[in-house]
Amino acid sequence: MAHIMIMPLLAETMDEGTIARWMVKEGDTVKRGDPVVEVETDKANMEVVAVASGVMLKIVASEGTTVPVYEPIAVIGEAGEKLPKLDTGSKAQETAEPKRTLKEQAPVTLPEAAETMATDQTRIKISPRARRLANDRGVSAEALAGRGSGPGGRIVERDVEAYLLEEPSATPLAARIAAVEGADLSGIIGSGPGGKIYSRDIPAGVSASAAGEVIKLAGMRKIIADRLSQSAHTAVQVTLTSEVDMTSAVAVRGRLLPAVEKAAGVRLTFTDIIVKATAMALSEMPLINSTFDGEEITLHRDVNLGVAVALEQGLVVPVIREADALGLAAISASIKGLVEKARQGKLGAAEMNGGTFTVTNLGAFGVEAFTPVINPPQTGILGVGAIKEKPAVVDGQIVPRFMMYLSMVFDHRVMDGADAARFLQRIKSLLEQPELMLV
Amino acid sequence: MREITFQQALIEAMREEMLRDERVFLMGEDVGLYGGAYGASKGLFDEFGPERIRDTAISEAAIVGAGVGAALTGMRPIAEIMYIDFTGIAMDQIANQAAKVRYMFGGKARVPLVIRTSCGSGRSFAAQHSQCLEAWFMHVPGLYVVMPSNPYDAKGLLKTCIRDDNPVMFIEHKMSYKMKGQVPEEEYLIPLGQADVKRAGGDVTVIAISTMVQRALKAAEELAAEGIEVEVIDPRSLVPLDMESICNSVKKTGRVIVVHESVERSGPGAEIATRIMEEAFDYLDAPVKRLSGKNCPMPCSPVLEEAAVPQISDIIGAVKEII
Repeated sequence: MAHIMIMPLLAETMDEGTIARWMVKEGDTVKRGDPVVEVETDKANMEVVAVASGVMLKIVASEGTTVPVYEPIAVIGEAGEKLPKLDTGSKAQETAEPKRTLKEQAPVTLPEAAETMATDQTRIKISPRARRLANDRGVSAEALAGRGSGPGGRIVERDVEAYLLEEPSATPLAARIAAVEGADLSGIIGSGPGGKIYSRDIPAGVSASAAGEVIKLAGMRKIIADRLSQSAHTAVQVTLTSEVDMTSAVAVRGRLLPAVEKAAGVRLTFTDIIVKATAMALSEMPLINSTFDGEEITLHRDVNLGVAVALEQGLVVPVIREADALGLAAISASIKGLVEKARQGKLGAAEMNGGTFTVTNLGAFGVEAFTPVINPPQTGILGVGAIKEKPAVVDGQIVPRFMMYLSMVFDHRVMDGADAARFLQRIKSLLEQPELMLV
Repeated sequence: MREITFQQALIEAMREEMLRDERVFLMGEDVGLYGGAYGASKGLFDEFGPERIRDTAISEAAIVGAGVGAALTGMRPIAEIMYIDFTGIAMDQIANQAAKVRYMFGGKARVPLVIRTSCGSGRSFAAQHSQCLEAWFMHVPGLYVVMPSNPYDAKGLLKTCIRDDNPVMFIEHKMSYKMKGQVPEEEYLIPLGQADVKRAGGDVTVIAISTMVQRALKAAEELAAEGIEVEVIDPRSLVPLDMESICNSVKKTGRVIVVHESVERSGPGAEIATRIMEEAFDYLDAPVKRLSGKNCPMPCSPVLEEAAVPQISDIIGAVKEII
């Protein structure tokens, strides 16, 4: 029986997804649960697994196409099976031919390895370690058949590694274009000697202009662009800036470093301490811990704090749930865990949804103060600048102190300047007298 | 650092613990005046006298039984059974008394008893004096099973065992007693359940027990010359078994050989290999291999004796087979 794969709903707010990369070709054998396609959503790139075991009969949505959720993207079934009618704009191929047996069909559509499998009736010998690596990298055991170099022809780890290294040969320019555009070279047959891929072989629309690189706005970048312009055009954003004396916080962090290291195995950062203070202030001021949809202001009981993380592909904001209930060690461990997942592209939608406020820290880049843009439907965001040692006046004396700027951007439709100012003032006093966080 | 023999390391461990705690004493066949069949109690009789270094009758059941009784009444005995082959006579005392009492009295009774004994081939002592029987004791809940492979480990482990409140089978290989190794003057203890990476390598993990550790290290040296990097792990105690260290090594190498002198069938390798498959299956790049004594009684002929237990060349062959 043929199974239709649809564009799944990968996140609450997802309306459509773009096919980033197919990991299988039509005619490939697929196993239920194996990742077969990478889908780009507004949150992240995610792998989608095969819904059934069988042969990939038809890829309906090619790479780069955007498909609404629940619409068909591929059909999996038995080799030679008649394709079901597909409810899409594209013409699904239908064949009136009677169903053929696997044996007849094999030489025509099945890849060589699978054919060997079918005729030998033997299992492909592959070590658990090799199978694990192959699964992780989206390589099927069948694709590796005949490559085993272990005892008795078993496929072992090094065979999978060798397979993965067999990138198609391409000129440096072609490889660069492909890397920039995210094009998959494995599907291209080059026009150069021995099938070498030249830049002209990469499909049109995927090419670098003479003036420099042209980057099509797509996927994550497009989503960031859409959401931020929506925010800038709807929210009435006002910024308050306050300078905070971090000298006590610096000392407290120094003293807590070993304890947090011992408790959670992570290095306590200033971001962790600022997140803690912010979460505490938010729990005391429900109006700031709110979301606004244009009609209703929702005051949230839980403080779900987003922490902005800069990645190569763009910005993601993983959310620390109920941050006000967590101690410093737990906050620190939670942030590090989420950042690491974000780096590896493994952040799930659930870890990015539902934020009620955001903290963003550009201090590491030496930025002193800045005005971040609210992440809708949230109503506030705190921009954290660098901590710098500078002269300050304390009790009439000029003394060196560790100073830092905090910028609170808020949506004036939801709250007034005094509300946001009280909130900022509260964070300031929590950071200047960290012992207040014990109260 | 100074070098002493395995035998001296054992004597030092017992002497230090006897000085530290007057409840500690040693008993066994010929451990007193004669200084032990392998000299592993030499000098202790002169220092501590017949009360604390006690020669016993040739009755293994009585040696362990008296040990269990003494332990239950607050002493910390070390009972020596000259050959592990003779533990059969004492088995009820070991497996049904020593191992079970603490459990059956709900923790109210304790058996801080160390049974020191020797195992292994290499001296043409034939089938009744050459066995490695650690598997018998691994099978009994309530016993620790410890097998040191060098003087440093022997001393640190024996001191830990003497201080532990539970019965321990402390199994010394009879070819180890003369082995020399570095042992610090100052006091140290080695916890049970902590394997030791005797040599690091990325290609194959060899888990070796007792004298097989030295053979595995020599094999690893020869294999390194051919570019094969062997990681040699010595579990040191089989109960408790440090699966964390073992699995970490398996994750690195993907290939494992367990080497021991005791016979293959239901030997320690069977237990270790099974647990690797349960706990690190996805990291295996080849089936776990066992290299063990042949499933036969130990022959008396030196040539056949050698053929019955894994040699350095066997370990090299097994590594090449699996890689």
